[in-house]
Amino acid sequence: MIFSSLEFILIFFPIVFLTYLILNKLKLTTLSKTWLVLSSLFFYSYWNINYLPLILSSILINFAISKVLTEYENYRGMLFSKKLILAIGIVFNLSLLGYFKYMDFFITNFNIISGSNIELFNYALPLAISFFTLQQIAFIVDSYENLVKERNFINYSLFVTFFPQLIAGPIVHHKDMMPQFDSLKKKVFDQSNLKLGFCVFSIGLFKKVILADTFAVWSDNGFSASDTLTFLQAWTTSISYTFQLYFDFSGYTDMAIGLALMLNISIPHNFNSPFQATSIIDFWKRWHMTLTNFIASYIYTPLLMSFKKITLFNAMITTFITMQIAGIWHGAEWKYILFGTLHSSALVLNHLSKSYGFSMNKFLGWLITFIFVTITFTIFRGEDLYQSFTIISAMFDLSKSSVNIRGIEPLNFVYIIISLAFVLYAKNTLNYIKIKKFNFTFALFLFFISLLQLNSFLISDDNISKFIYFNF
Amino acid sequence: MKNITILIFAGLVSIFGFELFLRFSPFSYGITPMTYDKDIGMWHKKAFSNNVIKSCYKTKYFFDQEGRIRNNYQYDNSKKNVILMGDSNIEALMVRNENVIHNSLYNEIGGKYNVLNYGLSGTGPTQHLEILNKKVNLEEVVYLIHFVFLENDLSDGNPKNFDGTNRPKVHLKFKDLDNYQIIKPKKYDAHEKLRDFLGNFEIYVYLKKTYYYYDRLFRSFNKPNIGIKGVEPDNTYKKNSDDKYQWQQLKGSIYQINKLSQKHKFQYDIVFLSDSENKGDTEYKQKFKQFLLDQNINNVNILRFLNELKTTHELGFECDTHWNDNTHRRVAKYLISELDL
Repeated sequence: MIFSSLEFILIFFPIVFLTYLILNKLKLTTLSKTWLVLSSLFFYSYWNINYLPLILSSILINFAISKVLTEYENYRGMLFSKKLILAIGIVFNLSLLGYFKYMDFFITNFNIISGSNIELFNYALPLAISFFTLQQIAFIVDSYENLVKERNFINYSLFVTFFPQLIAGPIVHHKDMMPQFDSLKKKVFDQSNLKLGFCVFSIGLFKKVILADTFAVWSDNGFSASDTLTFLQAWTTSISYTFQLYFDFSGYTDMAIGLALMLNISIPHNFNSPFQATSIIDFWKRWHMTLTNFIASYIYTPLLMSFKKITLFNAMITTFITMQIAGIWHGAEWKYILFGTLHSSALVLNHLSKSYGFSMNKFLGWLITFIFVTITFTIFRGEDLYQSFTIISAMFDLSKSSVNIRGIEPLNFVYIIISLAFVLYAKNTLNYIKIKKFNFTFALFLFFISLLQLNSFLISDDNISKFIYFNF
Repeated sequence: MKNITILIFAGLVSIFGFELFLRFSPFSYGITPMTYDKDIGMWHKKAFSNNVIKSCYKTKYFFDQEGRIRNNYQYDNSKKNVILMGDSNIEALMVRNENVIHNSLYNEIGGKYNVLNYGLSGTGPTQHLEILNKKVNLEEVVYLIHFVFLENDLSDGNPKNFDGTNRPKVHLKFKDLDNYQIIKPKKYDAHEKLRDFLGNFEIYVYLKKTYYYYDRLFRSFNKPNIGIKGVEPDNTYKKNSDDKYQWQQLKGSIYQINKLSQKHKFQYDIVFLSDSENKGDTEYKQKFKQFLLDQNINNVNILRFLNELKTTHELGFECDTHWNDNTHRRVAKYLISELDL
């Protein structure tokens, strides 16, 4: 059950929403929060109930560790130091991630290097593990720093499992979320939030099922024929994937924000027109913002602080390492490591050029950034590095008669042009939420047309495509 | 009231928007290829082209000025015509135009005659006789190749299945081989006019598919063997009490077509197959063969050839049992070896 499925839209969410509303109306606030936790766990288990114990034990253990950390002073004569408890907590979370996400990658590479034949675990990646692990690491780190004020178990469980953001973010912070679950104001039905939430959800749904899934057809066709692509076909394939990824992920985020808003909860934004970025630094301030913020707060800053002296060189080393971690966070594959390396290098280069006073024409900056991002997303999408490099080399192969518009689907080209204009000039969801104004009739139109397309997937035997970020 | 107005307005605009989206996206359903015809009941839209789309193919089909499957060659007035008649396998909307059997056959005979394709889905010999009478200039015909798929065509001749195509169709009622009555298709009433109008929109095809999907879904609750996707119900023709009536219609139509061929002096050959023969039951094949022998009609049983072809190539598509491009080309080649063209 994903947000863009008829069972979620027509059955699951209306039931959850109405019950939550009624329980709040009856002032049964603890029950209403418990209801949200149970609904979220049901939502999570709907994919694979086998991983329910995993998320439950992760919640319990992290909550226990945070409790010990925040109340450390009360435990006199404690055997372990506070720092050691924090370390145990972090190691526990990273082990969980490492075991399910990275173990097979390490074994495969170890086998190649050593010539051994250690058997792989072949575990299916538990859904959302990368997201809930990061959020809980932040929680125990802040508990260690005595920054956690809220220690209610139901609020904590809801912070981790809250279904709008559980599967693919945005990565939320406990200090933004947990107070909201306790706030009485948030329990009062707010019609304007309901309307705005519906509008934002509809935009997201439209982005996903009308735009992302349409680009997916062209991008999948191009990637499956990577060996035969001409110059223009390689570019349209690559750009199609760039737009697919953007509309897919930002569509998911909009839906998450919209759903949360309908429940009167605000969750952070993840995108701010990333394709308007005129440099790679600018791009990462606009793309997957909650991941960037998390990495900045919990990896970049502590790492930089660990140096005796903060110098440009140290900052660049830190930037490089941090971005590498961001790359490998996406998955245990060489392509993600390469993706991280390219972005790390570009960020370092961008910072260095800025510090030496080098400036660039805005359009040129935009063009270079867009092309760079498109190329790196091609690596991100490729089934292997060979496939990605085949497409990338076709993008720069002007030889033969490859600069030929034959073989380009005209519609694909039109969609690219319109989408480009859209991402460059249209207001983004963040703007609409800020001004709290959106044309409700237009939102209804987007919603209905998306429902029609969802039904179309159903009757055409096409599987409703999952969100790309569910894989991470 | 205002809210309801907004809801209705947004709903209507989204239907219009979705029609545009379907037309200009890879998810197009195409629009219906049929229109009302006073003689046959339904006929292809004239000078029309659109896509036929299923999960395993997206093919652009073309009809000419007469509503026939378009030729891939220049029609030559100085040459006589070879006519192909049959059902959806011969109509072959899902096959690329250059490979459809009439175009493949034209290539095989090196352009000796014009080869015209009068294939129409959902039709059998009774309709084919009427198509010959109403749509074909018989004076120009030198050869008629008539494809008969026995179980299918017998099933189409069953009055219980007369509404099977959901479009009006002409039917014949043979008392004996010489005497028959034409059951004209229903009139071009408001319902048909509306259907023709809606047939210009992709959303109509979409809504029909939606209806069939949910209809099957709800029926599958009671009959689990129906299946919603993939597993089709068993459509195999079963011998029944209407058998005699249906044979009469089949034989009568072929007898009349043969009479036409003698009157207009063209060669009439039948290419046929019986599904039951594949299952070891040769009754229908023998019955049909004997009839053709009695009438002195040249015929080819194509079953063995298709079975041989099947050992090396898929006959149909992954998602559709209709003959694929390769089968069309190979059958055309085979016909050259079997018929006197």
